[in-house]
Amino acid sequence: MEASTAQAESTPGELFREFARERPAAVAFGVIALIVLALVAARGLHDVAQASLNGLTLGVIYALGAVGLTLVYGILRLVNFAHGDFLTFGAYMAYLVNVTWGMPLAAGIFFAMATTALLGLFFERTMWRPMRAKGAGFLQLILMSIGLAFVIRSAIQWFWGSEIRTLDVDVTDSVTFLGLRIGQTELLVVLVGLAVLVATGLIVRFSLLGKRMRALSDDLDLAETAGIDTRRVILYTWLFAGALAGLAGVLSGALTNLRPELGFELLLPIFAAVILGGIGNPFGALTAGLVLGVVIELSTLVVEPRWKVTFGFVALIVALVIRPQGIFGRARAV
Amino acid sequence: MVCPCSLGRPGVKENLVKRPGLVLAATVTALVLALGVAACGDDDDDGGGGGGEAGQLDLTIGNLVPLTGDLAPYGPAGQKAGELAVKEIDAAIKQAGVDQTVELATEDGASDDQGGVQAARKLIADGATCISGDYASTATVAVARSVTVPEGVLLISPASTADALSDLDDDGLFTRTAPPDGLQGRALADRMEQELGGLKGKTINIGARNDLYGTGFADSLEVELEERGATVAEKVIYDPEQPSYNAEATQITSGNPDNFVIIDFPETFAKLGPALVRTGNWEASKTFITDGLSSTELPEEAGGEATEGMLGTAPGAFAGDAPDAFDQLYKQAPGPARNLFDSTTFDDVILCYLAAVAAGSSDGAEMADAIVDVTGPPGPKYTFEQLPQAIEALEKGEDIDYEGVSGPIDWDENGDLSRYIYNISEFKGGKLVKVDTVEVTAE
Repeated sequence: MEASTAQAESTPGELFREFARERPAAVAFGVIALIVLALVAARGLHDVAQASLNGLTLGVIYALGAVGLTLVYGILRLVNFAHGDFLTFGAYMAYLVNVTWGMPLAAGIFFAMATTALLGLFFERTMWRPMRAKGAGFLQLILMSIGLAFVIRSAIQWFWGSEIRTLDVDVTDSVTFLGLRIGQTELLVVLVGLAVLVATGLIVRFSLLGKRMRALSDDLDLAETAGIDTRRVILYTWLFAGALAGLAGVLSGALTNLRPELGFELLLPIFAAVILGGIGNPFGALTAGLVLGVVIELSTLVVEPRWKVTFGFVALIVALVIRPQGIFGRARAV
Repeated sequence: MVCPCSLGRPGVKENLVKRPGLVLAATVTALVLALGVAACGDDDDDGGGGGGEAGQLDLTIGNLVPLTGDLAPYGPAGQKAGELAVKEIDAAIKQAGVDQTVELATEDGASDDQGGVQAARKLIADGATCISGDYASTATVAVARSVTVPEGVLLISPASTADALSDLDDDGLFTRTAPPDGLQGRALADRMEQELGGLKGKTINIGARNDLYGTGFADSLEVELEERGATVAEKVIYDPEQPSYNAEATQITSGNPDNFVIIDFPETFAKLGPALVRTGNWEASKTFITDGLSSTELPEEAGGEATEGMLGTAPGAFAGDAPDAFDQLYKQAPGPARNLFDSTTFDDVILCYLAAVAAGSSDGAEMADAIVDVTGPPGPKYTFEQLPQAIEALEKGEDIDYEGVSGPIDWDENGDLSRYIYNISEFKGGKLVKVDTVEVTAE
């Protein structure tokens, strides 16, 4: 009511602010589009397109990791610091199939997704559910997840050592398309990653399971009162998050190589994507992951590569200062 | 009925719903800080000192090697070299019939600052008063500044070559058997000039990892190259812990330079190398490297296309009886194959011991005073094979000049080697092949 009366006599500035509050994502994309246009003017279309493509490879991995992390947080209010090491676990599972057993990478990907999903389920049954039943607080759960992160990483180091390992993929051949170069494996990563992200978006948006997940994320008690089997949805959430983390791990491993710190090094940008996307919002995390990857790579057109990560986080901080609930978070939350 | 999952949530939820972003951001930040600070916690353990009467000596030598992290490929050989050195010392003590006990403690420095500092503290807690280590230059600075210098423990680095270490404020408690990068930069620039038939008018792009080693080396090499008439068009400094290196690779290859220099460690190059190949504007055979990448395992880690034909410098071994004898000794013992810093680590451990004998004490500062005389002229030369005779000479108060298995080891006033030998090696057929050896002297 108030909004409509105010609209009648508001200035363009206020109108814009109103619009920005209602559709922060549109504004964010507008800002990014402007920056991209400026970069195109300064550095040429080719450089910008190439950097964006590079960023997309990175962004796919951030996005895949962030969706799972944000779902778990949204539904269980659990900040899972071990999520990065889920990625590592997935990568090494694919290594087992792809290199140790000499099977194709596709088999490795499926195996990694399945085993990492089961890993998530396993910890839900052995750690998180009992802890919730005992009424553990936010901080206790966080500390447990940090501990778990170290346990998983050390276990991987115990079995595979700390040396660099590579999956059986071609990392040097590249494809040229419209003057843009992309490595064969990178192309595969982008295609597989985007396909899975779209599927994830559709599942969360339209499937019954997705609706239930979002219902739990909105209000767990209310969802339960409405007759949703929360326990089952939670299990599915872990399977979902685990499988996506496993996939992200394999894709990251395929791009470069495997080492026990693989997932841990990715955890911070993944957290950034979760926060930027509005915590608990899977669509937000997905988009923010992609955006973050592209922004980080685009920054190399302006600053030295060694500052690119810093630049990505500066952008994150600025975005959060303007909009603490994240770009895709709901306005009413503040 | 209440689902067990909702227990413990209501109170938390209320706060979170209002500002979930800020709460999570704050929590993450706090935890990251807490983990970082915990690793820097101080402890005031006194190093186990205690000399004793003439002839009697009770010494613990620390061997700080990277068994995990970026430099993990080099660590196992260093560990084995340290163990071999102590075996030699034990045998010599028996033969010389002196009342001395020497023990070795080995710790993993994990190739980084925090790991190195923690490992050094542990070694000192185990009684070490002389430590060989650390490998990475940044880690050595951290270990020296926050542990060994304040604790009065002698630190000898077998592998840290950054020029910045020459100016370390160390009260004489730091020295190294690894040559400073300035010397290697000169050797590499000389070799490039020779390989390319003069550097005049050549354009060279440098890629270097963002740490003390990478940036320091890149700076000193740039000076050397430009003195010889070359132009350094791009100097790309990159973060060593990125999941992707396409942007860096594009920048390193931009401007179509005549040649490239990559200053890096194997773990990062395993990611950067393939990205360089993918640009299509880079060739391994046009690329020069430094000791950081002179690892026999590199072709396996980064792929043949990213390594074949790369030529570079690495601290070499002086020819002679001592290096040959060490080579034999090392190869006869079981364990990992030889790698770059095994001979210097071996020398460090022997020097720790000789310094203690010369000082007649296992006190770090007293050993630091004695160590320069032990290994420099004047005095007759002794190698590790003449250790019993060297002990007797020192016990009589005579001056000795230790000839190391890594070289003559004569230090200038900064504790830096004043001359050194570099191997010129090339990746051929997936192997690191030595093609030449050059000796460089400091100005």
